[in-house]
Amino acid sequence: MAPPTLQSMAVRSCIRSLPGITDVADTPYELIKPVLRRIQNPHQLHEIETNSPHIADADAELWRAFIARDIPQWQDKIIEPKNPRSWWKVYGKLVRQEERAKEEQEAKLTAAMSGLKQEREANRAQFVGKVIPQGKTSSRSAFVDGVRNTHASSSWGTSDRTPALQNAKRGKDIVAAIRKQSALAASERGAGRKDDRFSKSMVPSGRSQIQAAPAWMVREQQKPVSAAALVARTASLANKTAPTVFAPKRAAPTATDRALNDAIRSDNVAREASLRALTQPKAKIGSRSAASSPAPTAHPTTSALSPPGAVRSVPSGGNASRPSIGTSAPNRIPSPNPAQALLRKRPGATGSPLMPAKRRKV
Amino acid sequence: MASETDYVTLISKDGFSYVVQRSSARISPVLKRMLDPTGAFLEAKDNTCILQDMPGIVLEKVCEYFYYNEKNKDARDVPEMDIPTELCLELLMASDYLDI
Repeated sequence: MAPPTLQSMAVRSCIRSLPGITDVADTPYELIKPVLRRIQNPHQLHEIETNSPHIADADAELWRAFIARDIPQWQDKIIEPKNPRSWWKVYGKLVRQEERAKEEQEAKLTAAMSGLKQEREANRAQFVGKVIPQGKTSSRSAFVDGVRNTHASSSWGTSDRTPALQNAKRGKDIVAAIRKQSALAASERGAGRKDDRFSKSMVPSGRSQIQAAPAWMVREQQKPVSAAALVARTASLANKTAPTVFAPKRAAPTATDRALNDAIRSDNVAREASLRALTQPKAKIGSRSAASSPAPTAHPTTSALSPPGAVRSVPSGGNASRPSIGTSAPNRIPSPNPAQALLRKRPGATGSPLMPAKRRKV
Repeated sequence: MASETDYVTLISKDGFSYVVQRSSARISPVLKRMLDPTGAFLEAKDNTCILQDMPGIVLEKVCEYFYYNEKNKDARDVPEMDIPTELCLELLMASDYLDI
């Protein structure tokens, strides 16, 4: 087998040292073609072309290869130059076009991405330094939308132990913390409502939300009222009496009632007299022996007691007619009176076996 | 008088002369024709080839190749001859000219 030719070896050697080749001098294109095919950088090819112009005349295929490699969809974009030496320019133009299109696409993409980014930013939760005190105090506040909050604890709970209160060690700190909490709670509960009288903000200004009567009401008022409606109105007004309350009627006092009342009254008088007789026995005796005239003075209250003269005559007559003391006792129950007969029916008066006999002091 | 000597002379552009064996020089068909006694070339009479385009160093490499070729005629997978970078282009041209 023959050793490799010098040409092949030379070519290979050239390829090995390709980066250094900038000028092929007079080397014919055909000779150097295998070497030039290996060029990666179009700029190097262009340099070689510049130094050895005869190469530029022949290296169209090389430029085509470059275009095919670097420019997508080159079949549509390729332009055949009239001057074969201007293949380099064709390549340059196409490359520049490509770059511009790429930049436009990039700009569009960044715009789309920033739009997405803005959306994401809008949805993202941000860290806020200070929070408007509404969320946390909603469960603690005493009132919610004007209605008392039943879920919130109205007494001192564990949530009321603020760090201020927990960290307070001295007595005055504790007091201050408690005072602050109470003030806060009071303000939440609406303690300022007590001073309605002197509040400047709550003076009625006469300007309410209602500016005018509703239209339907005005219309109704202006309508001519029918006769039947007028009659009904007056009737309703007339029938308006005080609400009737059921109560038993107080009829005119009957004879029985009158007699009963008199009997009760006389009985009361008699009892009083007896009581007085018990309390002032000596005075009573002395007065009785003298005459009947001091009798009324000794018993000044009896006259005051009994307004009707007919009634008074009975017990006082009984007392005066029998000056002896002994007989005064049985005269306790004086003359049989129809009214008093009724009275006698009362228990104890007739001496029921259950009730002890009334002790009559001598 | 132009008998076949054993050695031939190859002279470069800048006056360097290299004496090589005729058999080696005959690897190059061009030289072979030039040095053929039956031919009418002047070189055949003197057994000398003047290569006008070739610098001496390049010719030296060519001669080296001649021997490399002759030596490795029957061998296989011989290592390549070393060609320095500065010569490779010119050597390429020379090889093309000499058809070797």
